Amino acid sequence: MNNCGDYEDLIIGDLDHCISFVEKERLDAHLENCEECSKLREDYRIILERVRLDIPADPGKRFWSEYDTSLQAGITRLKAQPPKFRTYAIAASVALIMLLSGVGWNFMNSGREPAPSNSALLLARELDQIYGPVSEETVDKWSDLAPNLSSITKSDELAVHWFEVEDESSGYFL
Amino acid sequence: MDDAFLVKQFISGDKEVFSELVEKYSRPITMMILKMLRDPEETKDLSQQVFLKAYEGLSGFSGASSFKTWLYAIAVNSARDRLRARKQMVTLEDAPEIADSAKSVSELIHEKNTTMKLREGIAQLPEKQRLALQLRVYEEMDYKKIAEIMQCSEGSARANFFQATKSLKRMLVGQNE
Repeated sequence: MNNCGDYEDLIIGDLDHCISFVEKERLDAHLENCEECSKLREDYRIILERVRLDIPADPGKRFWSEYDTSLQAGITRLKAQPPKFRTYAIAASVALIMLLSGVGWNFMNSGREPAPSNSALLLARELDQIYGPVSEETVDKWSDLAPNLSSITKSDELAVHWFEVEDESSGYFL
Repeated sequence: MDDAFLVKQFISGDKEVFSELVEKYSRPITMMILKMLRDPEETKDLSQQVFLKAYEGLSGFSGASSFKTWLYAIAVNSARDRLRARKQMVTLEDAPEIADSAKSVSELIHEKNTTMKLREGIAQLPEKQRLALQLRVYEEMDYKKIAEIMQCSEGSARANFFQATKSLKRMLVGQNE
């Protein structure tokens, strides 16, 4: 065989009907003079033909009947389920409602005065001791103080205690 | 009605049109899977799974390929996964020795067990070669479609088919021929 390896792909391509006219002519010319390549072509032809013919028989009426029934049942089940995109849409709607409710709640409560904390009440009692009990005259002062008192923190509370201790140590009774 | 129209109808909410797609493709898809798996019960189960997957995924179908190619790709990939699982159960020691170097292809081909040898040979082929051979010979697909399904180039699909044919011959008659 002279350069017969070059012709193996051409032989398969010829059997696969995917070589050009020029390639086909070149192959035919070679096969006329090469017994081994003619035999090789015959081998490949037989193999591909046998593979092509080895197709399983139709599985029969009962198979298709069971197949159709079972597939239809599966599709009906899927139809009954909410589609995934609808689930996402519902989840997004719920999240949006919750977000809007939160915004609305904050908006409605934005005008209200916050309730005074314990620290604020403690300081108020101290102020009562200084200025006297809350009266009609001091209501305005109290309302002015209220927003500031509501923001009193733990450190402010400590400051109040220190203030008490300081005054006790100085012997001056408020 | 053509596939593109039916798919459009399905995506816009008319789920009933899916039955038309099932009617059109259930037989060819099932037969293709049967040729690959050679087991009717396994085929029945897998083919149904393919259509249920298609039903679930069709709303997101981009239309990059035709519906037919998309459906065949689902089927081929599902069958390939099943064969992979099957192959894991068969160890290399269990793989049958099918080569018979003492005989030529034309002598072998007349033997009763040649068909079985051919099937075993195909089963032992590397995955890409086996798929290219099956899609080309059984389904008579062109290389463009095979390439789309196998997600490779046309040249690669063709090379895999050629290599599969050569490997099959080597397996049948051994290395001596």
